[in-house]
Amino acid sequence: MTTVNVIVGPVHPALHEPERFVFKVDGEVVVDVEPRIGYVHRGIEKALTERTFTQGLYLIERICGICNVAHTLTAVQAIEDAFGVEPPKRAKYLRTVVHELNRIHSHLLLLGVTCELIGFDTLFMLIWRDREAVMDVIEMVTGNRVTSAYNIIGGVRRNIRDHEVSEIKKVLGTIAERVKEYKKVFAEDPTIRARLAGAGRLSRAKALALGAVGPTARGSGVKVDVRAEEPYAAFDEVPFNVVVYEEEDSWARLMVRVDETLESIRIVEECLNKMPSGPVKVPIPEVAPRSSEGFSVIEAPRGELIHHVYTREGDDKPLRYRVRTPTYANIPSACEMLKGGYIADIPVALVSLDPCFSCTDRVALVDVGTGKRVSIDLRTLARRYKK
Amino acid sequence: MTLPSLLRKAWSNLFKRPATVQYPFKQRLVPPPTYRGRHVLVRERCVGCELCVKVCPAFAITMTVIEGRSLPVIDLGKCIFCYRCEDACPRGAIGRGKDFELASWRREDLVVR
Repeated sequence: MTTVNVIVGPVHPALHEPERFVFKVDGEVVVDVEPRIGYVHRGIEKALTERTFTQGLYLIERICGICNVAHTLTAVQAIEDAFGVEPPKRAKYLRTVVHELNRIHSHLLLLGVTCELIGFDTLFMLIWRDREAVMDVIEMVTGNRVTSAYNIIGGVRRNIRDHEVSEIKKVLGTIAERVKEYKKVFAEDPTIRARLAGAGRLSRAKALALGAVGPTARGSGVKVDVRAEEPYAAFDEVPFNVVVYEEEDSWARLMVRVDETLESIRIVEECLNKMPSGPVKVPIPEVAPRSSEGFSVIEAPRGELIHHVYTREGDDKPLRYRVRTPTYANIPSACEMLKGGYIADIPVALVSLDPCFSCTDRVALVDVGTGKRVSIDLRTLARRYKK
Repeated sequence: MTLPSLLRKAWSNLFKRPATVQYPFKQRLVPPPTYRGRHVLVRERCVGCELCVKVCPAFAITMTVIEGRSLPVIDLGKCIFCYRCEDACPRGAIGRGKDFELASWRREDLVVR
């Protein structure tokens, strides 16, 4: 069988972020996919070891602009784990509120992007109009629309005030009504069904075998959610449902996000009602009080996010910092869901993953002669090119 | 085939006010009071302790001698508006501002001193 290579990216109109994929196609059908991640590698893990813990938080926040609260939340939990610090209860609730607001706006963003990609511009505009209201609420609570700088080691930076609570409830009430309408549209509209149903199929067995995370796994009928399995922040006290769809295609993955948005709105309201009183932060030491390691895993909007940090006693910088982002874990599943589909389904399948490539990118060296890929650590790389 | 349920909504939206605003010529935007905009430096309160310099994640603050005193100067071109400096300042010399329209033709305009 002869195949033709179709190269998509690094910069391509169908991709919202630069990343390179080589599709081996036979006629219109994709036979094989070769992703090459690394185009927008930024060296953040290395840069973090040269910044103090508090300074590093603002770099961590910029790993991903959309899920910035998820990244800072994981980071502060990992560092608190290493320091042996426990944040106050009210801080945990506030973290949950902002984390879930972040998830709402992230999911609405993706739903809008998908609508735009399939040519349904009306729904795209309507969804993004509602997303703007959530952004305004985040701005009111944290001080900025996108990079919120809200979580700090040992708590959160700002307390929430009563008029802000009532404003959040008011806005989320309207959004909940509208998302219910959109859910009806997503579920029933013949155009959306025709475009999304069956595209980018990922079977349950494959999702399990390839370790899919987040809505990608839940759209394939795998019931995984860190919030339910290993509750962090206030999730052990706030009941919620894990949304699972069995259809195994792009449509199911989007419906998971629609339902999760509604679920998140409920979580925020529940948290605001149950909010305990007390301080919002505890003082933390400037330098690491012990040589230790901290580990934290949370459910970011795109799936399971892991931060791992090593500290050395008396040092104000991390010894080693490691981030595993959800899209990185979903790349094998992405390749699987593209195989056997049509070329025209590639953008839909990719966007249903909610890819965040700049979070994903890693360094790998490719020997052009033999085509062999090797991963290499920075020190060896520096030694090799220092001459 | 059923009629798309969004059709009625799209039709009714034709006769509503747009969700977008005519910024900046007809309507100005006012950020909430908690917004982090251009800093307001109060020179009289500064004691020159350099805590803001140490804490800045973007290395945007430098100490400069102005009128014989060592005072912080914030380069807004580097600033990421996290307001760590406001938190760190023991005397409240770095205050909040709501100004977010910071575009300029010259770099010197982007310096808060």
